[in-house]
Amino acid sequence: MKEANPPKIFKKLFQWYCNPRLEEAILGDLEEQFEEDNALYGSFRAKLRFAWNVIRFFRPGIIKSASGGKQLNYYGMFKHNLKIGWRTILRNKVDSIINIIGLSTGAAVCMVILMLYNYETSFDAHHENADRTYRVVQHTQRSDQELYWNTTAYPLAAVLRNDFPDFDQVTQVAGPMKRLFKLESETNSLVRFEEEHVLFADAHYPDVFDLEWIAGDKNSALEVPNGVVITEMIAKKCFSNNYSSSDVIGQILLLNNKEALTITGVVKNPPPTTTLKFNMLISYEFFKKHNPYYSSNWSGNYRGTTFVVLKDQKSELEIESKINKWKGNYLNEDDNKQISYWLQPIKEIHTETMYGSAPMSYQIDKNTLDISIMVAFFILLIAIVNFINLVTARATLRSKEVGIRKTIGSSKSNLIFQFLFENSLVVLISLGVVLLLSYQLVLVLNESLSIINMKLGFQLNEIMLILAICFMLIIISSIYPAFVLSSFKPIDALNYKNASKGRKGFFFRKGLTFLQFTLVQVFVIAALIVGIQINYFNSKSPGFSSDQIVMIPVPSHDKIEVMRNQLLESGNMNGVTFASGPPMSINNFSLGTNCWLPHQEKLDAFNAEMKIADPGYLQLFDLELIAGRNFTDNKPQFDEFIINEKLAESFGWNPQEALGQTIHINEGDAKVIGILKDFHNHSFQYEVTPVVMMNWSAWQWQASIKIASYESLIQIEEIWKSQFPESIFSYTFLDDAIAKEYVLEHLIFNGFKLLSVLVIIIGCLGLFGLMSFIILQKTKEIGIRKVLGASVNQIIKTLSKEFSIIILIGFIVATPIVYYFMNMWLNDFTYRVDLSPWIFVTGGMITFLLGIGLTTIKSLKAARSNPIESLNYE
Amino acid sequence: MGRTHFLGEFEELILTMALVLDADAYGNTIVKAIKEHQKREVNLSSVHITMYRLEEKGFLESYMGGATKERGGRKKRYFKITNAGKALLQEMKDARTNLWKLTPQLNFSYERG
Repeated sequence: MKEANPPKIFKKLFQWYCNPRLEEAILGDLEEQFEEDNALYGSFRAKLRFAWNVIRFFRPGIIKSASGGKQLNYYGMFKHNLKIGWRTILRNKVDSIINIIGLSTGAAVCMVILMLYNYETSFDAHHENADRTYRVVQHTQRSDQELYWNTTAYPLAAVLRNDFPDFDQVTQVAGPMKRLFKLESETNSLVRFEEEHVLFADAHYPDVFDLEWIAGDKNSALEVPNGVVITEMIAKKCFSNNYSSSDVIGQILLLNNKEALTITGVVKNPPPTTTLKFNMLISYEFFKKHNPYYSSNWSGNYRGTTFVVLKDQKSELEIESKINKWKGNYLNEDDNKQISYWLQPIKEIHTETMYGSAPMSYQIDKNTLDISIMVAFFILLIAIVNFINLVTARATLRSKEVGIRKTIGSSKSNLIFQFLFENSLVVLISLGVVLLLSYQLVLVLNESLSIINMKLGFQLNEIMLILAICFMLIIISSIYPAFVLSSFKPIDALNYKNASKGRKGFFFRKGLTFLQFTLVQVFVIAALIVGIQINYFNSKSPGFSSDQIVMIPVPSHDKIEVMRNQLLESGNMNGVTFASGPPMSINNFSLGTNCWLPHQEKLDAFNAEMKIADPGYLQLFDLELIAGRNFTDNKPQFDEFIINEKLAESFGWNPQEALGQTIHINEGDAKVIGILKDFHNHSFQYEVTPVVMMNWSAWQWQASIKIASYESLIQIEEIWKSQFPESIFSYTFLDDAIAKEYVLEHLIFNGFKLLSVLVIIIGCLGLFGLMSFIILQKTKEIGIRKVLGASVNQIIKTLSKEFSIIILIGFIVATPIVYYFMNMWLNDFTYRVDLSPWIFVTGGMITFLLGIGLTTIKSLKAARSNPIESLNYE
Repeated sequence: MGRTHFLGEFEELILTMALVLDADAYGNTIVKAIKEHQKREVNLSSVHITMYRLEEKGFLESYMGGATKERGGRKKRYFKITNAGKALLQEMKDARTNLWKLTPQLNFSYERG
């Protein structure tokens, strides 16, 4: 008789699905039958029959019932956990609120930063051909430096299109530029407006960039020589909100009160995530007709951008080298040596600072974006660390409860589930707060960043993804406390021996607090440094006077003298000057030219900023002459130069030597009559560059007026309107314009300040929570110390000692980190503060005091407690 | 008696077997007995489930007993017919007999004691 056993798998299967009440009898029967079969027919048939029987037994009356039994138990436990969890939260209101606030602020900030990152990196990616579309950029190799241009000569596009088969599409745009428009129509009232974002685009533009057409024909709208395509916004401005396409198409817009343009199409407003913003597209042919010199000049660079779409994305390098070999066919010899063309993917335009953003758009450096992502995750990390710390600390107080539950019969997994569940409750509440907070934050951001047209929106898949990540992370962080808790031995817990029991998890928690506080230190010191730098910016003198000065445009320069006289006669002005712009170039706008000496080759010329001024300029802006004299009058053609120290240095002259020298520039040559003390002709992020100034009335398109009172403004407007009835009056205060240059820096600083405050708060919350726990642990110890005669101060000192060490080590770790990153950031600025060791020490001190302060507050209560109570504790 | 509900064919079979085997009725014996007397192969699971159903209806009562080594030390669940069960079986038999009496050709009846 062979010894055989029924097949294990089937047996186990049966034992799993069978109703426990029936299991014994049925299994007995099955085994009995198996034995008989084995004896009669052999083990194979016996096993077969057994297996078959197990399968046959899988039927409703035998299977564990779904009603009654375990199911009821799950539901009951669920309700129980919910109740207990909710009560726990309510019982420790302070702790719970700290936890929720810490977690949700951290998560909300992280989420908003991620949204910002997504937003900023998605610029220009929405076009269908975006992956194959490139902007042609230009490198100019000068004798002293290499210049990078994001604009190219105008004839380039047509030539690229004709000579190269590798391009799917080539398009040429000019602008964006500012133009004046008037609507000519009998039915509508007079509409006159100035539009800053006017783009001249050739007929291939709609093939390269996606436009959503509301009216008009995509293929022909820009081919019409005088055609203009307007956006919805302009259509509404001109024709009221309920315009209809038939009303709009064919209407005439007067450009600069002279040229008639026909509206050939209406498109939807371009999305905010584009560097090439436009509100009107005028046919490029029009631009060519009115600017024949610029549009055929290969040597100049006048706000024309060329875009190409490659047939094959991988051929980028190949095409670049082809272009650079072929350009000699069109460029003259000098230019050919210096100029080279390269392709830049349009998706990189917004974040690549080397080429500058497109005209009239802003940029965010890729590095800044990457750093901000790191910061976001740091913050989330701190928040989660906090959460783990607080939950674990609080949970050890419940060791008695754990002990009792274990005694009654709870399994480890039951306990883990319970604590996981309770934590999830907190997490869910936090999630709600996170959504609320981030929504508010986005509103605030859109509001305060409206200058750069920020429109952060909640995209569904973004939200889902981020929520999912946060949720998962948080759940994972609940696992550790759950495990620590459920591993208590009931005996120890009930014996209240948790002072020693806490040791295991305690070290881990100490480590976490250490991490938190190191991060706090980093942020405190970094915020200090950023603050000092911004302060430096704000207090640094630009080298010229800028208050009470108003700038207004001058549409036509033949009215200059008349205006000047009228303004001065009004008696309310403290100075008037007509120039090309204020001493510091604002809005990214400055004129450039080349300078070289008579005996030099133009090839050796270097770049300098060209400023047009008049005799009143120096006085109005308080610029100081260190040699020579001022202009004496305004000329239709310049014949004198005033240069700054920097320019003189570049030629190797001292101020006295420079007087009387002749300098050649692109536009002509003249003698130097005066040397100016260096002033900041660019905002503080950049260096002072050489400046050559001349009195050339043809290019004086802006008037700067120092006003005596607010009434002066009204008078200015009157005078202006009387001279230029067909134009639109606008004015800007120089102060405001200069402040705008630092908007980005201010934003970064404010954002950073906010973040640091956040980090500090979360860190402090963490320390707070941990201290509560420690003190509770040491209640007996404190009681004994008091009995032995310790004073309140001494007790506080004892409690603080541990944390002083943490903070000290944290300081040593944090310092090099901060130093490295801050140095990197500051290096971008030409004018920066030095990182003296005092800054670090101060930062460390602040954190130290903060920590000690917190510790003291918490220990005070414990130190003052009555020893009898603590020693009587059962 | 106006009984509205009778047993199904298989249920009646099992119940009868329980009556036959008297003190020795449990899963395996019933299967064997049916095989022997009716020449019919039934599956153990059907037998078990039917017996539980009959127990629910109150025609059988069960008790545990008799563990053996072949069963791995597990007890057997014995089923004993109740009075209600006996009465039902009798009723069913009578009902059938009366009906047979009315059929024209077959004028015989098997009666088992």
